Parts: sequence; C-alpha cells; structure tokens
Amino acid sequence: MLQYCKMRVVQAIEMVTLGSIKNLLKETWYLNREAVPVEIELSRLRPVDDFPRPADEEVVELTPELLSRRELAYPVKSRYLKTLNYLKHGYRGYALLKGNAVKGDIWCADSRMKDGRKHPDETWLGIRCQPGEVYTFDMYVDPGKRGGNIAAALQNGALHELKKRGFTKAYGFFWSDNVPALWVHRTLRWHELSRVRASRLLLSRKLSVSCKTTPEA
Amino acid sequence: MTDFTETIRNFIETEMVSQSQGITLSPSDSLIEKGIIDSLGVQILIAYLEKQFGFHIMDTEIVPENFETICSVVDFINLKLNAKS
Repeated sequence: MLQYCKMRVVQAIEMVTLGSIKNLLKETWYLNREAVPVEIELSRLRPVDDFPRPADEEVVELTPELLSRRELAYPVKSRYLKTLNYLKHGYRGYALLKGNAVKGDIWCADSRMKDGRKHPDETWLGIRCQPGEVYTFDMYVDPGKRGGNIAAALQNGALHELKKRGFTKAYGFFWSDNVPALWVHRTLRWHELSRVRASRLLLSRKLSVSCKTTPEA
Repeated sequence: MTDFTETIRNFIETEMVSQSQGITLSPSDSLIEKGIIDSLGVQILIAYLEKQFGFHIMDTEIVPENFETICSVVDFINLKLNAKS
C-alpha cells in the first residue's frame, strides 16, 4: 500500500512538473468522458516490419529476473515504480528498449493474475477476458522519444510477443479524445466495441458508467 | 471543389517533414508509410486543419483512409467544407 501511494504521488508530481496541472486534472477529474473498448485477434496482427525501428531497439518482456539482471534506465521515476507495482500484482509487461534505456512500456492482465482477479477496467468497460486472452492497458512512451511510429511499434511488438506466448486475443481501450492513442489503435486495426461513458472525481473509482449500444467507428 | 494540394503540401513539408529528413512529397505518396503521419503527426495535422479551415474533426473521422496521402487529406477537407456550407 505504501509503495502504491508513493507511486501515485510521484506520478502526480511528474505529471505537473513535466506536463501541466491541466494534464493531471484531465486524467483524474472528468465527466462523461467517452472510452472506446477495443479487441484484436492476435492471428491478424500487422507484421512487425510495418513499423520498423533501429536495429539496436527491441521489445522485451519485463520480468523480475530482467530487472535484477539489467539496470534499466526509466525516463521517469513513476514508470519504474509502476513496473514494480504491476509485477507484484502479476501483470505482464513489455518494454521497448534501446540498450538499457526504456523508451516505452505497456502492460496486460491475464489469468496469471493473483487470486484470479481481473483488471478493474474490465468491469466498467464491459470486457470479459477469457483464458488465453489478455487485457492491455497503461501504455507509456517517453515524451522525448515520441514520433517515428514508436507507439505503434511498441504496441504491435508487445502483441506479437503475447501471440508467441500462446495468447489468441487482446482487449484494451482508448479515450475518444486522446488522438495519439486513437491513431495507434486504428493503425493496428483493432476492432472497436460499444463505447462507454465514464465520470471520475480525483482519486475516486469511476463514479458513473453508461454504455452506448452501437460502436460509432 | 477547391484544390488545397499546395497548401497541405507546404504545411507538411515545412512543419512536419523535418521529422522525415526533408523528403519531397508527391500528392499520392503515403504519408503513413513515410512515417510523417504517426500518432504525433496526426495530432499536429488535425490541429492545423481545424484552425486553418474552421471545422471540427470528429474522432470517428480520424482514420488512416482520410490521412493516407496529401490527395486524401485534400478530399477530406473538401468533404468537410461541403458539409459545413
């Protein structure tokens, strides 16, 4: 719990100092914000080569062993703390590395999670992840390294790694007002599901959720 | 139907192409394959189009087909302007 609080405080400070207080408020205080749940069959992924990256970059699975073996350099402290927290919860993570520098990371929940719990997003998004399926969440790219399709390369690379591990389908979501996230999901050809509207006030969980019956895109 | 090809080409070449090592674009070149339009590039282009042409782009319109080439961006602009008038 202490580690979680520390992570959240550091994240909030970094959001304000590296971005603005507006960024922090946008993520923690919203009314009727529209989320677009998405799904993708891992047999229908775009080839890794569609989003080429320099030869010295690689997408790797983040494991406790990897963290003890290599001294990874995170762009911001909160991402390192999140990595520790997510691994503790049994989430599976992938990072785009250049040497030991983390340029971005993405996380997913599967049936490996402790106590068979699901990721809390699955409930309000109306997603029902089955065994062999994963829910992807919290993708981050170092702001100083954005551009050149890095986000698509990271997400597509992670999905290919999940496919190699035997997973067949992935779910996720993006906010409809988050143009970069929207673009990455549409570029990778995720299928969009019925939209969900949600409200949240600061540290509360989602206060209200309503569902539209038909996808708009 | 107005031809905004040069307007769009100028904007992309002056404001966005530095990311793509100063390539010269033809109207049918794939902006996506050349790496000009990615998650960051599309945000820059959308902000420009909304300001320059005075229309709002809905999230459902932000699809690769509308931003694939300079030609498709110009077609999209005309579609939006026709709908507005």
